[in-house]
Amino acid sequence: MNTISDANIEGVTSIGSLRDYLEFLQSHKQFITWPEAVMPEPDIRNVIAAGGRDFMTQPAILFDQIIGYPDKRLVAGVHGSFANIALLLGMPKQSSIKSMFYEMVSRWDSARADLRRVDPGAAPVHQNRIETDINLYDLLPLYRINEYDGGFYLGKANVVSRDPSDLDNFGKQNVGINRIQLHGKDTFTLLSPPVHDLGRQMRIADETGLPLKIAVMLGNHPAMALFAATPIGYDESEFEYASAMMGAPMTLTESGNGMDILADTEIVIEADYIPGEHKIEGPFGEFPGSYSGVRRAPVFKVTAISHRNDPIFENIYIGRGWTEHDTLIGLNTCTPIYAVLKKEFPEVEAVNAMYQHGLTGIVSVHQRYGGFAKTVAMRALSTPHGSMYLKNLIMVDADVDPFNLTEVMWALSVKTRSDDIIVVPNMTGIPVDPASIIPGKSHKLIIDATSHASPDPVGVDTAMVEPPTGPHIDALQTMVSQLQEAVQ
Amino acid sequence: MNSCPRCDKTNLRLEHQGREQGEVVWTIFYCEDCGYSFRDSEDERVLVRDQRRPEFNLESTNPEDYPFMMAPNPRKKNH
Repeated sequence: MNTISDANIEGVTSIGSLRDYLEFLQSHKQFITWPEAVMPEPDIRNVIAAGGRDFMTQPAILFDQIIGYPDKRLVAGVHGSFANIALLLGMPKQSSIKSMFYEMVSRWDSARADLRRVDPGAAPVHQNRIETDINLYDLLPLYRINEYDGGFYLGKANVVSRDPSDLDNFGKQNVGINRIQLHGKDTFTLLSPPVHDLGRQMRIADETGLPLKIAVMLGNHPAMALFAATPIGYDESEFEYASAMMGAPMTLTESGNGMDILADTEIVIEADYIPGEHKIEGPFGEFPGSYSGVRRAPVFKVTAISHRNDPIFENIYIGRGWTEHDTLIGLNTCTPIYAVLKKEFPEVEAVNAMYQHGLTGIVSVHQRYGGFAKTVAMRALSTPHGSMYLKNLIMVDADVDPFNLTEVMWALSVKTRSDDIIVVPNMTGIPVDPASIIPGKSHKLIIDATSHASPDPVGVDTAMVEPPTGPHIDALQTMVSQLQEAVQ
Repeated sequence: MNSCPRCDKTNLRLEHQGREQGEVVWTIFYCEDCGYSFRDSEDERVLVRDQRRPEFNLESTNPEDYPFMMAPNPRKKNH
């Protein structure tokens, strides 16, 4: 099945669950069990944040001695480093971010999904079923993620929902990551901006009176979180993307309330949307590195829970970056923007939109004629993800590596003119951007740091230096390093 | 705990108690006025209103003083 890359780490395509992945990570020294007893606060936050300082190599961390939660297990940092993401892609864990970007690009649109099904009675997730006396506090080893969060949050919940007006449409069934705050043993608020797929389904439920049910999957096959966080079309299935991008089968079953769920998920919380009911939610330390404000958020009521034996609760540390949020969604923020642009502008070379989910993005492009890069920039701002998230967009030439910030800073330093900056005012933005005057709206900034080209007369007499490059220079660089290492 | 660290109201609900070998080691409370939840084992910077960063305390528990993250949508006429 896996014909999609030259990725060569053995065993990755046989991963079927979070447990498999943790074992796989352990074999690559990317998974540890914390050896000491911890208090929920502040110890768990401190350990995860400390490990996450090295976002290239942080291991996943399992806690199984949490004071007050005997016999409960929590894992964080599963996607907390680029080493873990590389291994998930079947690549060596030292792979460069740029090479991972091109690996994901090569898989996008080129691979087929292999979704399989098992009956609910045979699915590990349904080994235990709770339909009465529901108590989320008893099930989940919760901890306050950031010190001034308004409560206890599920920060990595993969939420499955169907379009209330088109229940049988598999493609419109959405899997997204939404922040969830507990408001009782069986009650929570869930945040979904109106432009996200679940927000759209909540609007349909409001307008039609049709019921909206969800299944919250906690502790999943690692590809699920990766693609639940990926902005794809409303009628495209995240399950299919996850399977296709992994080049491996994924096994689904049915939740008690009719959603498709991963059969090997650790915990599934089934809940009903309560139209018109809101509770005070937040603040919550979000991915821009700032707390969102206090808001009124929609309420969901839990109807049942399924979980595996001895389940592992998977959660996250998120805050001022980079955190697991950034390593989880960085590359798959770049890829769909690139895929859209590349179709219409083959001149696009690469997209780096890893900064706070794309609040800042860098696009490299072959400049066809004066002003061309700005045309590409405008399209980037109208991609599904870019329209909301891209706020600062830096355009560079194709020979500038957008993943190499030294090169990007060079381009900014020598290519930009202060009278050639574009600000597009009052566009759609994200509600949690701390720089927004009106949450949900923002200005878009385009900095064109590409070379001037005809008919632009600027720069005609200042040709750029072309430093020596190519395989011969690479070999010389290696030789210099070897000679340096050999110095006594 | 007698009052909410965030809003200072007293409408607290005991949510859950963590135990070790049968002994209670912490208790989670929920404020029914402002929706805040906390564990009584947390730092005083979280639990004591006067020691919290003041911008995280609430003066109002009236929901109408806070914006909707997603405002309710009116029912369409034909539904």
